[in-house]
Amino acid sequence: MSLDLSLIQESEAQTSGIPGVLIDGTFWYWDGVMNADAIAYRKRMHGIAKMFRWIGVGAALVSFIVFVIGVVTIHATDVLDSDFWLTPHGDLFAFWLGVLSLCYAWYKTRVIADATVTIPKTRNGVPEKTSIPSLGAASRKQGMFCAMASDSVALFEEAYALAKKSNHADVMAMHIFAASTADRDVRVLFARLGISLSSVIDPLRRKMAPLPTGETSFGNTAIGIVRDAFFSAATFGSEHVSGLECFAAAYDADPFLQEVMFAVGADRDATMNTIAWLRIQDALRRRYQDFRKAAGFKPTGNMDRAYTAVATPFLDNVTDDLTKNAVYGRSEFCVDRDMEMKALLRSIEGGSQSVVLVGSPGVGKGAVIEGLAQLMVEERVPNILKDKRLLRMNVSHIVSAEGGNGAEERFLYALFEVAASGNIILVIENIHELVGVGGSIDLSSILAGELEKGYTFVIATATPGGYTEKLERSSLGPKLQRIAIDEPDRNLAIRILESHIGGIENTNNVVFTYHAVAACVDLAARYLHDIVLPTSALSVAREAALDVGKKPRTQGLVWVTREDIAARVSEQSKVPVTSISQDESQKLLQLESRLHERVIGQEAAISSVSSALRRARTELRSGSRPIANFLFLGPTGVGKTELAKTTSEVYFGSENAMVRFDMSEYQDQASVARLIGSNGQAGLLTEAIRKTPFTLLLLDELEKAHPDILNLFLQVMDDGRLTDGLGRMIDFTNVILIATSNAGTQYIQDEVQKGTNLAAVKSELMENQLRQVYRPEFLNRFDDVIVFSPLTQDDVAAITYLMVAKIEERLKAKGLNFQIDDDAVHELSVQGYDPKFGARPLRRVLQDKVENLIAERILQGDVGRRDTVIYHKGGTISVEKAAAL
Amino acid sequence: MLQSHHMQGAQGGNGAGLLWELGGDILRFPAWWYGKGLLRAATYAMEFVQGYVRSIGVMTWARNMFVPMFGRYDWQSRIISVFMRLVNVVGRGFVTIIVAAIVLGIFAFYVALPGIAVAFILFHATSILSL
Repeated sequence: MSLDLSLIQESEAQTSGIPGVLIDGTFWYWDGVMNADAIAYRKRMHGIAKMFRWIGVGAALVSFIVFVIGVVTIHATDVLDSDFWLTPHGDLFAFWLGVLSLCYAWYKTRVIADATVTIPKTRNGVPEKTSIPSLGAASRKQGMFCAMASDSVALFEEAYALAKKSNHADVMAMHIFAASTADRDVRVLFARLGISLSSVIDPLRRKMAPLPTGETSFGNTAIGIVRDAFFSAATFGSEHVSGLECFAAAYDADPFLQEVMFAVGADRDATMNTIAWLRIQDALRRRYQDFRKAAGFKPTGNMDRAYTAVATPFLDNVTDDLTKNAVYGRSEFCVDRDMEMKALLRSIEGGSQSVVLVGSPGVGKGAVIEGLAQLMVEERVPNILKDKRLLRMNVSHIVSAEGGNGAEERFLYALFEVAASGNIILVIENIHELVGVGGSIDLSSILAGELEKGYTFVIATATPGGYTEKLERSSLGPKLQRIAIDEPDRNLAIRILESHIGGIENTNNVVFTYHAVAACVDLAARYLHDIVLPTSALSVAREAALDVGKKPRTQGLVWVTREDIAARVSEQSKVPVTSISQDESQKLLQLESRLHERVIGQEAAISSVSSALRRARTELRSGSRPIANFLFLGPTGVGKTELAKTTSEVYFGSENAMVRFDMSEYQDQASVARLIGSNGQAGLLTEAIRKTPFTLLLLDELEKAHPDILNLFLQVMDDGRLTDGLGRMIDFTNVILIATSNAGTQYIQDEVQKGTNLAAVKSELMENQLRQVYRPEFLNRFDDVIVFSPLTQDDVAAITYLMVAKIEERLKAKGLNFQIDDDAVHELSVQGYDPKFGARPLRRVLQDKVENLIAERILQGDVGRRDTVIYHKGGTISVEKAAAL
Repeated sequence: MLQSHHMQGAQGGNGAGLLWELGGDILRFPAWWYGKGLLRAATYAMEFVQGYVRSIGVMTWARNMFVPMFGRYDWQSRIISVFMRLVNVVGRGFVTIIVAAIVLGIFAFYVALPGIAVAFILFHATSILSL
């Protein structure tokens, strides 16, 4: 079978054809010429055009000066005489020459400005990247060169010059990237990311050096990048292709450039979010200009444009006029809530049905409503909302007046005014609060009845809890169409925050880095659980900016960095700052030795805990489970609780960053309710974790807890969350869960005495002994079950040294010195050692033998400040008086 | 865009070429003023007047001529309303006409300006020539 070459060639042409972007049926293609001659010619022509304009301005100026001199020196009094203007005159010749020159200068200015065209806004759908086999195939086509901002043209010319200088055969993404670093926006991007230009340029130079050489051409790679940049500009509604879009397209096109940025600390998310940030700023500026233009046409009084509305004196007292606020620029722009806004407009347009926006406090329900008010100001809304006022009713104003009496009448009167006016859309925030409020008749029933009549509709908000508990079951519930406003994901939250950063920066005279913005979102999501994103991140950003803004300034520009955000968050969440942002690698590598400073022996336990924490901290753990779940087994007094405390100190920065529950107090079934709450009550456990989510949860003597509680912890260890009595989801993913248990103690002690290997003991415990107490699936949820071996005499001696050091510390605080020799320590350790109770008796021995004696001597007045108390073997103490001063 | 025009003239790059180009540009100036520039100025003037009409709402008043004002539907109010609307439409219409006339005047002046300037230059040039 012979191969039809013409078919192959044609199909290749189809696929490789002319790349471009389709906007509303017009095919935009690259029509620029990039070679040395064209660049030189373009520059010369641009220079000439500018020069001619200045010639026009100069000629006008000279002519007017000649005219003024002539008039002032010779014809000062004649100017007011009409004959002067109508008599042929040299000065007037200069005057009219000046006017003509000005007209010429104006013509040149316009022509230079008109050399670039504005990228049209898409009317139908979105721009589309496409290729056509030949330009003849496009019914409507337009070159995209004229849509380039002059900076972008200069950027591509510079990229060509860079390639040409090194004799590279093709202009590649790297050339465009390198050239774009001179662009103002790109420099701002680097500054926001905290990257120095040189750190990026050097590897770029090295990578560019071995590129193929030849006659430089602005080939398919470069044209593809231009096309992508144009596509982005069209998608984001820019008027021209900016240098930033060229940078973004080059970055996106070459994995090496992404690698370079990644190496200097800007991963793909960070770079793209920072690019998005600059785009948002540009879009907000354009939107503001358009909005101001439109706002001039919106009436701000009570009346609609046709004066058919009725005055609403009562409503004006109990509501805020959101459309008026928007006209006066008192509301913030709503960013990236297009889906929710479309759903809102669709349901209003669909059947004028009332809607309720359901979302947690701080998720942005208010922003969506303010966004709607802005659309109403611009009249970019369905007809039913055109020429209307959006009024936000404050329910408490209705309910609280006159001690709550007559709330129904006031509410009805407000609704009557809405009906009478005909130009009001009512917004009721937290509408679930209406349910069950009022005297004989529930306010929600009144509203349901009025909505039934169909003369108006409301836009309401409710929290998820309020909606399910109250609203859904009330007569009002079915009248409202539910629109969920979800918490934004990380990237969306960052973009929303970025849209507000400009205002925060202006107010506090500071500048945010991208990493600070990202940290606001990340740390707020992780540590601040009272409110949700994006409000939590916004408040962190505002407060951190305030903190930084108040610091004494050494330079003009003050940066808000990730560390500033970390400091703010740790102050708010009470988690020590070092545990969040200090470079932890050293701390984690030395975990064993740090744990050993307080816990003696128990090598296996310490190594197991350390490994688990290292795994957790390097994020090699599932994000939906606690940081680590441990079960500590072993006899009393061997250091189980001490290891938990030490872990808390090392990992969370403080021994007190620990929530401790003695499970012997939770032996009956009712204690489940005490732990997680019920019937609208918060629980002890859930409340503690909600308030300090970054903590160590210590469950002492777990075997004593009721089996239902074990089921509860099964869920915690598996999913990292619990629902409390108020219906709130409590996050346990930042918790280290440590349970201690005495189950199998006797077996451990017996086997250790027999000299059995700990691993064998543990395996027997897991397979047989513990099964009698815990279900297998429960045991499997623990990352590690750690068996603590009984303490040896040597261990107790080491512990004695630690405890003696503590006594010394306490005495030092009173101005006394303390000395004890090794023999005496050894004697105390022997007295305090009991294989059954571990180190517990030691504390008593030290109390009886050492502390009691010292206390007596202090009371007798034998010991003064600066004296040294010496403890001797045999249980005696002597006092060495300090030298007189 | 830029490179497609008049390559011949500018490629000389010397003083004569530049003068040649300037001469050509001066010829293009009236063509632009009474072509693209005129269209541009007309559009701007029209948009200005339309924006003004929109901002004072004269069309809205006219459209709602028989709709009672302030939600009062009794016959006395209807009569007063029609009267008030009539007064408003006439008053606002009058203001609109004045604004439109001023804009038209400015537009006409703008359009005629280079012509007037040339005419006066030629007129006053006679005095220089007679010197």
